[in-house]
Amino acid sequence: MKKIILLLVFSIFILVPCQTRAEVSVTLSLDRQEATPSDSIRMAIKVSGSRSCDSSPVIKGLDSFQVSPGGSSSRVEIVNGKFSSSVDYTYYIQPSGAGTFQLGPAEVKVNGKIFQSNTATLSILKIASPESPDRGPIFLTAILSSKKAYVEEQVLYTLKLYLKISVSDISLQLPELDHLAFKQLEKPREYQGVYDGSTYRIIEVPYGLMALKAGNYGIKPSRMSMTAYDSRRSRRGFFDDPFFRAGRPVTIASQALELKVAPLPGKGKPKGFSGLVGSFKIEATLTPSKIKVGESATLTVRVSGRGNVNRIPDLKMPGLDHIKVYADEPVFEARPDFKGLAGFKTMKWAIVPEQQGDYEIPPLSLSFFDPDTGEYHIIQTLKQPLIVIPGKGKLIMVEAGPGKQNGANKSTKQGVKELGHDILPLHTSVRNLEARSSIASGGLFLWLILLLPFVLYLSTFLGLRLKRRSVRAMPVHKAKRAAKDLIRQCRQGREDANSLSLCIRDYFNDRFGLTLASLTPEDAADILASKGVGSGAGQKLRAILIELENTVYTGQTRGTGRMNDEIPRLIKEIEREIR
Amino acid sequence: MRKGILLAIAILLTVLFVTSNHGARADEWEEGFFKANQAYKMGDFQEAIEEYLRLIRSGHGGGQIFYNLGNAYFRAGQLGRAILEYERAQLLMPRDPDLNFNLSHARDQTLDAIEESRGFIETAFFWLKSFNLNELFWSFALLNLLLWAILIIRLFHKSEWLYYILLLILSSWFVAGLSFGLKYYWISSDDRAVILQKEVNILAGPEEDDTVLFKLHEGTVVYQERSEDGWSLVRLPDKKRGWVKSKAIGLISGGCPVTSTLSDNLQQVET
Repeated sequence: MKKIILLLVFSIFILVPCQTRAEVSVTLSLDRQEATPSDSIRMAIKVSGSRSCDSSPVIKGLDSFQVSPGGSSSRVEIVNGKFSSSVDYTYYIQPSGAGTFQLGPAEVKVNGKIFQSNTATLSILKIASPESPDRGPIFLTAILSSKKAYVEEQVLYTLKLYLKISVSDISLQLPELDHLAFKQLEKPREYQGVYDGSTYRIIEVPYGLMALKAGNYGIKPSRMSMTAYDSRRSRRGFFDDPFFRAGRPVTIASQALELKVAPLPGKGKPKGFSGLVGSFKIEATLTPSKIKVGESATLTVRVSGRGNVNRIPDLKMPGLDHIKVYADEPVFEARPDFKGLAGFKTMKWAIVPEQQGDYEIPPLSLSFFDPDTGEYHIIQTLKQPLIVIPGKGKLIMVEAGPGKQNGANKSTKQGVKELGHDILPLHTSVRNLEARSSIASGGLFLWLILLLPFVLYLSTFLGLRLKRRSVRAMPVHKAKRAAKDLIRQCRQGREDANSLSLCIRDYFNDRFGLTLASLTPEDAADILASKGVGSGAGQKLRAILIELENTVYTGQTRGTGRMNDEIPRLIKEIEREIR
Repeated sequence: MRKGILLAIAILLTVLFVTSNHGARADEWEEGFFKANQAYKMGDFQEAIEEYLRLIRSGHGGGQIFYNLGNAYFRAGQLGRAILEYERAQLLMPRDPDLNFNLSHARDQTLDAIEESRGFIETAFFWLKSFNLNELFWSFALLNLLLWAILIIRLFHKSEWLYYILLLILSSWFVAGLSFGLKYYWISSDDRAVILQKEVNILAGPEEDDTVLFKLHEGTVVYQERSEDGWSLVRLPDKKRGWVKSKAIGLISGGCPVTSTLSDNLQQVET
C-alpha cells in the first residue's frame, strides 16, 4: 500500500509540470554572419515551448540561396521540476552570389497558430581570387590549357578539387554552352599536393574541350556538390569513418573562364581538307614486297595522332593498272589520356597483281591543320615497291583494251552508292487479283473445314466402340434369349421327347455358353449346381430329363404333354435362382 | 428416270450460267485493273486512284490493288494515304519485296521521328508479321487434318513411329493454332491509324479551342484509342496522347481482319 502511494506521488510530480504549457517562441540563428559564396552556412530554427509543429517552417529571404535540409530534432527537459520542450530544424544554405542578405523571419505553425521568428543578416563577400592565400578547407579550380584555340582544336579543361577534410557523395555539374563539347578524358586521379604552403588532397578530373564554332565563349563555373565532414569534430579510430559522423552538404564552384575560338584560316587550305585539327602522322608498310602473280600482298596504312581523331578519313586507293585491290574494313581506336584525345586508324588493302613486273604503290596523302604552327600540313606515305614474279600456275592475262584502262578501279570492291530514291513500279499481274480473304468469305465453311476431321475421328471412334460393345454383349443376349426360346417351344406343344431333350440341351448351351453335343441328366444337375441353382430345381430337371430319356429309349413318341407345362415353370425357377 | 435426267440438265445449266456470269465479271474486273494501271502509266494518278477505289469497293481486296493504290497516292503527292494503303497491302501480302521497299521509302519521307515500339507478342512470335491471316489459317487447317488423320489411323494401328509422328504434328498443330489465333487477335485489335493531312494539331480535348499539345505530320502512324463525335483520341508509342479530328486519320484495318471491311473503311475515309 505504501508503495502504491509513493508511485502516485511520483507520477503527479512528473506529470503536473507537463500540463503547464510554456509560451511558444521561434528563433532563427546562423553559425556566422560573414561568408563567401563557396561556404555552406548552418541555419537553425528553434521552436521553444512545443514538442511538435504542424508543418515545416517557412523561411523568407532564401531566394538567392541553395538550401539543403539538415534534419530536425525535438527535445524535452525537466530541470528542477521545470518542464521545457523544443523542436530544432537545421538547414544548410549556400549563396549564389555576393551581397548582404536578410534572412527570415521563419514562420512556424503550432496548434493552428502561426509564430514568427527574428531575422538575421548575412554578408556574403566576393569570392576570393585563385591567387588568394586563404581558400578554406575545400575549393575547386578550373584550368584551361590555352585561352585561345581554333575551331575543333582540343583544349584541356582540368578541374582540381582541393580537400583538407573528408568528403563523400561528390557530384559534378559542368557548364553547358552551345557549340562547346566536353569529353572526359580519363578517370579522376587523386594525389597529395601543396597549395600555398598547405598540403591538400587533390582530386583531378581532365576534360577535353572542343569548340565547334568560332567565337568568344564565357565558360561558366563548374559546380561540385558533396557532403563535408568537419575535421574539428572528427575522432581518431573506428568512429572516424564518415558513416558515423553527420556531414553538411556543400556546393563549391570553380572560377569562370574565357576561351577565344578562331576559325580555321582559309589561306593555304588544301583541296579536300577533311577537317583534322591537331598533330598527325602517316606510315605505310607493304608485306611481302615480292610476290608471285595471283598471290596477294597487304598494304597497311596507319594514321595516328592527337586532336579530333574521330575525323581521320578513310583513305582511297588510286587505280592501279594490272592490279586488283580489295579494301578491308578500317580499324579506328581512340585513346584519351591526360594530355588529350589521341588515336589511330588502320586501313588495309589486299593487292593482287595480275601480271608479272615491277610495280610501285603510289603514296597516299592526308591533310590536317596544326594549331601550334597555325598552318595546314600534307603528310603522305612513301612509295611502296612491289616485285611480281611469274607464278607456278596460270598467269592471269588482262587485256588493256579501251574500256579496261581503269581495271584496278573496277576490281576494287566498294559499297553500292544510292544515287536516287523512288518507289518501285505497279503490280500488273492479274493473278490473285480477286484474292479476297477466305476468312471473310466463308465463316461457316471454314469452321466446317476445321471441325470435319474431328467429326470423322469421333464417328470412327464411336463406331468402333459400339462394335466392341455388341461383341461383348452377345453371350448375354444369347443367354437371355435361350430361356425364352425354350419356353416358346414348349408352349408350341412339342410332344416329341427327343425334340424336348434337344431343346433343353440347346438352352444349356446358349444359357451357359457351352458346346455340348448331348446332355445327360447328371450333367444337367451338376451344371445347375455349379451355377448356383438350388438342388431342388436341379433334381426336378434331372428327373424330367431321365423321364424324357426313358420315353425316347422305350420307343414312346407321345405322352410328353405334361412336360410342356412343367418345363417352362422349371426354367423360370432356374432363371430366378441364377439371378 | 426421266425426272433424274431433267434434274441433272437443270443443275448443269445453272452451273454453266453461274460460271459464265462469273467469267464475264472477272473480265470486267481485269479491264478495270488494266485501265487503272494505264492511267497510272500515263501520269493520270487521280484517274488511277478512282479506278483502284472502284475495284476495291466492288469487293476486290487483293493486296496488289492496295499496293498500286498506294503507288498512285504517292505519285499524287498524298504521302499519308500512300502509307495507309501500303500498310493495308502489307496485311495481305506481308512478304512482297516491292511493297516493303515502297513502304520503307514512304516512311522515310515522313517528318515525325517516332520510334516503332514492339510488344511482347511481336517479339516472341516474330514470324507472325511474315504471314497473312489466310496463310496461317490454311497451315493450321492442314495440320488439323493431319492430326486427326493420324489419330484415326491410331485407332486401327498403333506403333512407335506413329506415336512420334503424332507428337511432331501435335506440337506443330499447337504452334500453328496459336499463331493463327494471335494473328486474328492482333488484326482484330489493330488500332493503328495514319495521319492523312499535311499537319494536324493534337489537342488536349475534343474541342476546336482546346490546348494544342503537339503537332503531327502526314504519314505518321498513331494508335486510335477511341472516337466520339467526329474526334479520335490517339496515342503515340511514347505514350503521348491527344485528340484529333477523325477525318484527319485513316484506320489501317479498323479492327477487322477481312478485306471487305478494309474496303468499307476505305469508303468511309473517302467519303
